[in-house]
Amino acid sequence: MSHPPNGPFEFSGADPDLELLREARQAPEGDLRAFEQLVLRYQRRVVANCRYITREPNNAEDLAQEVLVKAYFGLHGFEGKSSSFVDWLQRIKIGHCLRHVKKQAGRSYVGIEEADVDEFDQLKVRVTAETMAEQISDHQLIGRVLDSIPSTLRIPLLLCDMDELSYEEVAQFLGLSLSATKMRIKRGREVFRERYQKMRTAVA
Amino acid sequence: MSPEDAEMRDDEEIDPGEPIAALAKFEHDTSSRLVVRVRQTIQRRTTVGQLTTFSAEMPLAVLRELWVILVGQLDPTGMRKDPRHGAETS
Repeated sequence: MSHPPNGPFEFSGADPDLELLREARQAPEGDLRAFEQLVLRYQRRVVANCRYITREPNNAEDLAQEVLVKAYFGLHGFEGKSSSFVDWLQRIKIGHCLRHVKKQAGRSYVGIEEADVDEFDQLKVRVTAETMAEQISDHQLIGRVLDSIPSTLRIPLLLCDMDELSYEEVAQFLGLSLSATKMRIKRGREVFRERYQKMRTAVA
Repeated sequence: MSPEDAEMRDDEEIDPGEPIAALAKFEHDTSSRLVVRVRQTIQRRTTVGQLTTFSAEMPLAVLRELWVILVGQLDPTGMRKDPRHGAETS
């Protein structure tokens, strides 16, 4: 494994990370300062994604670490012509998290087709007195709502609304048809709104 | 428009609004150690990579040098040809 080479490198003009990327690629071996600036810039997003796609709070930073290391060693493969650094990083992150989810499930696919959306009522988070008594921030509330949504809806929702991928891209990542993807996202948003409102009211 | 098309169009929300829009800016707190861990992992893997390359190339380099010495020793004229460069040496 070697340091990313200093080969020819083209960036799309709108990439805000252009300068740091150039420095990261041109830095002498062992000099990670420029890449660390990129890590500091995106680590919170990467961890959030890993945390809520996999629903593993204890594993989120480990996954984020693997994603960022993978990005560093893949810098030489990033040409920057068709996408920005953040989009490229996002793809690495999503691919890594989905592979992790598959691995954890011990299956060869994400169980996205198994969802029975009619059963969601049974999965709804029950508002307990304890929950109501807690004063939680909006950020925590969103986190809790996401945790309460099953993977079948949560993952498409996150890819679409957190990572801002198009429906086609989400469908491609999950190996679903476009119509099924749209349906999942729509249903995911409905469930998210519904539970958010319910929890918001309970907390208030 | 077929019912299927209508349903499909209905699935596409251009602006899902709050609270969905909050997801686009959603971040998660990280420990201050994350960047250190990333740095250490990169450095460790780089070192392992260098060691692996060195370990793979070292035996070949040793064999090549041994061959050069051997050819030099067996040459009765006292002149030998460096097999690497084809140049004659004394």
